[in-house]
Amino acid sequence: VNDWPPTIAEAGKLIAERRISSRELTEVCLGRVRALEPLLSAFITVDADRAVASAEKADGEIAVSGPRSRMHGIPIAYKDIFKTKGLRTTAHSKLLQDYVPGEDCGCAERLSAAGAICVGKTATHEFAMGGPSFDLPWPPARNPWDPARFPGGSSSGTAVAIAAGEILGGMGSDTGGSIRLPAALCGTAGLKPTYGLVSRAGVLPLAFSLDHAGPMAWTVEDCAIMLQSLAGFDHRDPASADRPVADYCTGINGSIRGVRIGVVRHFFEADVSATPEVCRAIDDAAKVFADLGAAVRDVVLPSLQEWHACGIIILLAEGYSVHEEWFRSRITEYGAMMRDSVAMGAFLTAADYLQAARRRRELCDQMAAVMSEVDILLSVGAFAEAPLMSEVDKWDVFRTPLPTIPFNVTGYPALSICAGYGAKGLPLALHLAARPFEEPLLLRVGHRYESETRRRRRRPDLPSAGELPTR
Amino acid sequence: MDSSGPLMALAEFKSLVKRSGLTLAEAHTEELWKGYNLLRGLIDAVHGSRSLETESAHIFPLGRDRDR
Repeated sequence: VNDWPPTIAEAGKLIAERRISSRELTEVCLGRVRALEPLLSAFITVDADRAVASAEKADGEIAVSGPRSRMHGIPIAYKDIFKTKGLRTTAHSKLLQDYVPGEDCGCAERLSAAGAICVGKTATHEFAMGGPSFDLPWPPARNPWDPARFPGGSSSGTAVAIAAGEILGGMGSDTGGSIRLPAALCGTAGLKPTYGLVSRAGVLPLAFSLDHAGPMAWTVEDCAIMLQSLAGFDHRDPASADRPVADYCTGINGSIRGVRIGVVRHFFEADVSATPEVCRAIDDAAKVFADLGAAVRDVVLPSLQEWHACGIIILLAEGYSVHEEWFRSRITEYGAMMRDSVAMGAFLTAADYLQAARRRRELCDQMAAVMSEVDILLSVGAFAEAPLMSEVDKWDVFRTPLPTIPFNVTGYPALSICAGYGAKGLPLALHLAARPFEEPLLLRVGHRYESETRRRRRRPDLPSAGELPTR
Repeated sequence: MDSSGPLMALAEFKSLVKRSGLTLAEAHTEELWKGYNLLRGLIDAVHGSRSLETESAHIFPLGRDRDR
């Protein structure tokens, strides 16, 4: 497939210079959706007619007064737990298969106000928990690098649609890694912002104190552009941070000389053994950062097992509290993967939850201490290339720690970026994290890595999408 | 299940299911018992020793609660 859409940054320039219209760009994306969805199942709902109408409206606005943001006219999609006015929001579940919200979530309000075009709603693990399920009303999304393989989750569809060029960016949610893990396995960028920076109002909850909403896109720069439209206080989200919004884009090309980067090597070499090629990719990344003038050294945090135990107990307790009523009255309507995972919350005690919350306090203090000595933490986005769909087991989440969950426990901003390709030709990923609200630095470090390594030119080798509209 | 064997006997788990208020088929209960025995290790891990003074964090780790 040669007719890949541009990145958000490129498309924004083309739109501003009137070299491409939003309508043309949206038609490119919809053409790819029509061609590739039978293979990838990234979407639950495609809203083609309204997307084209919105794009034409955007073109009219841009013709009169220019784009009102860098998202104006850009085709995107929302994970299907983000409420969208007049467009069904299913959580990929039989329980909500006919649910049509009467209002937009906070993220959709902000992105719509910025002029973004909603192409549709993307596949997720049911209610953002579980795994690739075949007992739900819609099939699970498939990895565009190899459709037999798992795309990660739970924001699977958004990552797949971006990697396949069906959209330029999209929204995911992240409770234990659900933005960063699919980004890692699909070779996209995915940002879990600082807890409180992006509104979760109107996003169906999984675990209140761990849930984050955030942007996913092909590049780090595109995540920064999306974040610029997304960030800000929302009184409807009780965790929303009332503070000025930073500039995430202007300094993104700046130097990283002198930035202190700590490699959390024990996460992927001792606590869990990543594949040798993943370990090499992190060593290579550390060298890239050092060559750019960063001061790179190893740091030590509590073991990944400790972070994982704390995060999973809190996730299950809070998640079960959300679903308890339906678990007692409609349990047979859930798919097995989500149902059996979240059911574990029914067997936790108040003391289990509060001990995990107390442990969380200690872990947060320990990460803060390490982050007083370094500016960025470097680790892995995933321990290996994507497994086969058939290899994913519902109890995996209790067996192997998630490399991403420490940053849900602390709420620190974290970013997954493509770090090359493994022996099977599938993406590898590195993971960066920063202190709270230091997204400008985090995005700059990630962008400089992408600029140096130039891996964003490689795309999945998808079957021909047929005659696609040209821009 | 881990090779070390179950941390909770099936009969004990069944009483846990009964107390939860969930209505589960026998086979489903046994399936969840496998998962629970994996989860048990995580539960034990958060019950380690810590000082009596360690309070839980705010339910929100960052954001508005911390900004106040």
